[in-house]
Amino acid sequence: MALDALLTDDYKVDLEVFEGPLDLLLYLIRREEVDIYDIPIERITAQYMAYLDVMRMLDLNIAGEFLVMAATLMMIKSRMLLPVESRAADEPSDEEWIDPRLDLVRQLVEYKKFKDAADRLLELETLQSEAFAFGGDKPVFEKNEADAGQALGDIGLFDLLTAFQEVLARAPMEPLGHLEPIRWSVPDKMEAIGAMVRDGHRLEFSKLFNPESHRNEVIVTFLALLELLRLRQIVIHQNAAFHEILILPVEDAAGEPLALPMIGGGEHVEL
Amino acid sequence: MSNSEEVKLPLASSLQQVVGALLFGADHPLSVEEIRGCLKSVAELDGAASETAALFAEASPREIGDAVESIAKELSRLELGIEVTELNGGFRFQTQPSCGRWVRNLLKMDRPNNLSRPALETLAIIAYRQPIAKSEIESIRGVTVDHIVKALMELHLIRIVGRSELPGRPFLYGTTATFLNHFGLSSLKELNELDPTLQRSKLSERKALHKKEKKAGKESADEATLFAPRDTAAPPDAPAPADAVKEILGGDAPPDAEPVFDKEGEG
Repeated sequence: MALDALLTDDYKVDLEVFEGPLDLLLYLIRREEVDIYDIPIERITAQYMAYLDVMRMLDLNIAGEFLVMAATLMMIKSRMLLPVESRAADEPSDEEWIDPRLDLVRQLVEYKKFKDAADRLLELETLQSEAFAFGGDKPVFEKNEADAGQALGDIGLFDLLTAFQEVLARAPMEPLGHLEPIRWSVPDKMEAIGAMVRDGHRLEFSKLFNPESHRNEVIVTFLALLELLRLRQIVIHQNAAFHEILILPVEDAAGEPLALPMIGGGEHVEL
Repeated sequence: MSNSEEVKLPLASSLQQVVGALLFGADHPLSVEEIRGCLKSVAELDGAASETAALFAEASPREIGDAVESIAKELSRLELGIEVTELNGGFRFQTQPSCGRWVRNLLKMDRPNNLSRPALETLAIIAYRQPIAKSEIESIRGVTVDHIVKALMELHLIRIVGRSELPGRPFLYGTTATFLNHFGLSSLKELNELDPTLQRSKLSERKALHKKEKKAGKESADEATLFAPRDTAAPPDAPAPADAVKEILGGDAPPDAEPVFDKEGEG
């Protein structure tokens, strides 16, 4: 298929995924506003799989742990479906029935605690980064190139994928059996987004896409966005959880937007 | 120091004055011990000539600490845009974060990037559970942390503090002084006071207590079976995380959340 050729040969976006399956589950639990102690396993599993599909479609580096979790969710789901009597017979212990979700809940609750602790660390970090002593000679690092997870800024990968899923759902499917030359490439789209951000200074995520955009165009545009983020040519921002994502130019110290370097290539791929 | 025979300068009369001057003149955060050392050294040099110097040398660590604290209080009362902060056991004057916007502009400094979420989460796990092996971090985050641990090492926020007794003797990680400075923390104790439930040591204490209770009566029996350790919960080298959840669920779960496990779950 045209898309496969595009993704593997033309321009592979190599965005490291630092979030794991637990991050995705907690994200879904928060977004669906469900009780972490009583997870509607069927609904959450279906959504989890949908995200996995999107990540696969974008050819992101999906950690094996995501697949292990998928299997775990499936297993829990099937055990939840077992009638109570056979459960009792099945259980090796003569104790009462143990909720198959228990292990997962435990893990999620514990991880959630550390996520909350990370929130407090972020507050402390922000506060301390605004305090100066000894003529501004900060004992701490200013720029941290090593932290590749920074590319997405304060937005999680799953927020971006949610926004992408929404646009993709609206995009018309390509007609079956109809091959057409690819009219979009990642480098082209990167330049286009760069230009839009430069002129507009801020751009809503949804404005990146035409309502009639072809499915492939949506995907290529999104990949271009990821690549720009990875290269730190743009930053994204979200005013509150689950709000519209804004795309902003990277600013230098004086608050002036940095000029985007030209991105090479940009040739159209012919089939 | 004692070479001002011709022009006699009046000497400071209060300990607070001297402590304030030392903090202001220093080029790094000063610990109480450093301040004390300086007071003593001056007294040795001109203690005979100056009663005040001799007197200050008698100041106890506590008195010096009190002096720092009263300076801090005065500063915040006067709203001078400056505060005293304790970093890694040392005190320093610094500008108030609320004025950062202007100071940053004056010094022509970029706003630093905050650490990424995954990095902060990994750092939080290491900070609260140190010394900790990578496999334990991974069992909590549910995903490999090689890249992040490497990045945190490069940023000098964490370091290798030893090796585990486990097979393969994996490295154990802990936080650094840079970590405390970066987050404006006086010590790891301050961090633990922010989230006492995350500490490992405290958990084992509570675990012991929990066991005693279990032995003592049947009151907590339900809980014990409910949260009975399962072999998949954590690798054998990491008993703490599983217990942590037991404690979290048992101790901090909202009361209405528990019956969920008693209920026969519907498909």
